[in-house]
Amino acid sequence: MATMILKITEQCNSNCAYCDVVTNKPRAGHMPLALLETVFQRLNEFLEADPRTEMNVIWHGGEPLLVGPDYFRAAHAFQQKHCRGTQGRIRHGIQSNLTLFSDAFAEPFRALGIDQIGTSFDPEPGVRGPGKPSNTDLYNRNFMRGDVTARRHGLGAGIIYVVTKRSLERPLEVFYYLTNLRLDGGFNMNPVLLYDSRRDDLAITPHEYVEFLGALFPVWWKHQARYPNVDPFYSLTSIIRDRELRLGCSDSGRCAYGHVNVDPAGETSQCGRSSDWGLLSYGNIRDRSLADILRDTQRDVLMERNNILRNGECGGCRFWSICHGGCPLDSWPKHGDLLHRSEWGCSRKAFVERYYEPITGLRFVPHE
Amino acid sequence: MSTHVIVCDYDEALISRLERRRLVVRVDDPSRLNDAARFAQERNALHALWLRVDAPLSGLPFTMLEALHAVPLYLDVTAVGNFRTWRDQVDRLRRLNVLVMVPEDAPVSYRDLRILSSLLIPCGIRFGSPCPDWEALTDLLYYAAYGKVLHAPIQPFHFVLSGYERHQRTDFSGITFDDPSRYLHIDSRGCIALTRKELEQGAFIESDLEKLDAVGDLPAYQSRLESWRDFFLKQDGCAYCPGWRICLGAFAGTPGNRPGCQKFFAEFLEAAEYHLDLRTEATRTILRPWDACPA
Repeated sequence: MATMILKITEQCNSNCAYCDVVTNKPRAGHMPLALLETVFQRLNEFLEADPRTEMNVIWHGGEPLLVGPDYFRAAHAFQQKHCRGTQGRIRHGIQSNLTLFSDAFAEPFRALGIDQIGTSFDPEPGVRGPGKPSNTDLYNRNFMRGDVTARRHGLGAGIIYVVTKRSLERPLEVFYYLTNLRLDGGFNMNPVLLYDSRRDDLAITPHEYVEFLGALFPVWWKHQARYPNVDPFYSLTSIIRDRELRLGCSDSGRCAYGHVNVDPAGETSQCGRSSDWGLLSYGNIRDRSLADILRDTQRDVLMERNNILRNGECGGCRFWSICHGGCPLDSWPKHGDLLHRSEWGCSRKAFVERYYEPITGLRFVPHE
Repeated sequence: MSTHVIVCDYDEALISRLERRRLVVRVDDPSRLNDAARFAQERNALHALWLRVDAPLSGLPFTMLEALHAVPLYLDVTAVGNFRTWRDQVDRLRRLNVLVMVPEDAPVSYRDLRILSSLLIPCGIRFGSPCPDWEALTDLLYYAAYGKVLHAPIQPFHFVLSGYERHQRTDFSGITFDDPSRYLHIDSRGCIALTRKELEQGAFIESDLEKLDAVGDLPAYQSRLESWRDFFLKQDGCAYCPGWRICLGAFAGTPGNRPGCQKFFAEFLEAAEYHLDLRTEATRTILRPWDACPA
């Protein structure tokens, strides 16, 4: 399945401290409806050409709910109009901060088949929220209101919690907070990714991230039934104990020909991060088919990276099959290329060796 | 029709306006218990009869209670009182569908509850003080949750231990009829409140009894059901505690409570998990070769 990150706006109603879109001064305006229609035409063209494939469309931003519910109704109408025979192979998801979610979004979301909203939340003051400094109180109140509304409409909302320096002060309290907020699970703890010194008060090192996870893991392991679907613990346990390979885009080593980001002007890139950084640009979707964009020769470097790392920096690493050197973009700020391993990828190895294996008594055996 | 259980004082005019509803009827005079039960049962399903008296259990007219053997009886008393004066009534009490509630802030309650429970009389603790004796509560929890000697349920422990589910909030406020998702309180004028305390303070959610069935749609009601989220808007509050899922911040706002309440509810949570495992174990099919083969 291919993935399209559909960035319909770069505008956002929040000013999160670690957001690249905000830092890069987002462009005004949303993706015009005429361009959105073209996207659906391209989707149909792509799916018709290959009846075995599917497309995962992730509505993204900025904050995608800023476009309003009618925009999603229009999207559904375009899908009905242009993708009659292929719409069954289009899966829609959305990444939103939820603060603008209202009843009016429920019906068009249902029409598009969206039943989950990926969101993020952070109780710490000054990290997320509108204005400068970020108004966390306002943000959190609106988040809660949106969450209530989404749940009332049967929409699940999985949370990404971004681990910052402030999280390190009280890891267990943060863990309890998140597990209390989501008693049925469904949150992921990702490290904050900051590559310059603009927010030294938030930035953490891979080692600190490992130590943060290590402080939580004994509690999670002992009470896994109480705290379900808490990642990265749950996914790692699926991989190590249950032998199920559950890898995201940064670990799979297979992002090369399967991902595309479309920005509000129709410009395409490898992914959201490469778009934010002006890397791996594949032209405008008005001018190129999705098949061409997904076969662009610039992508070859991402595939070559697998060979280069396996025979070089990652040679002999027993975690290769669940890491693949991590996200190629992580290599850019430090090395100016995409061919080095990610320090964050190595943090997975460090966590497993330092905490997971000793605490569980399980040993990671590489997958075939 | 609203599925709420209605809690009101014994007021015949009011109860007449609540036909076919499930009621908790509150009485503060034991001599009116039988009348209240009879009147309420003529027109309604009687969920419980709530006797609230400023007297110990030992001071109640037990012979009068005996006529109520078929009625769920919630005896809200100040203490158990002198055991010698009611020890002959133990069998009588056991035959009743009774729950004896005593106040947490009376130190003697902890002893009383053990006596009642060991005599197989269901009982419970009524919280009132903002800062309970967490050590004494923990001891009582151990007795209620892990005691090997046969004993009757002690509330709210039993409620939590028997109903806890890992992925849901557990709200024991229903033990005192203060869970708005299950109970609504109505005064003699027909004004509706979400808890007894709010009723007594005149904090009503609706003043027209005719709108009883629409209370569930009121924004203020919906907001109350989601008010657990308020804890997640505070930077250093109960939401950061592992026990929150079973206390829901019931003792928030009293600085002296922590870490006592945290420790207590963490223990309580462990006990709830233990009992959940026991319940799960009870539903497992276990191979017993000596049993007859199923047909």
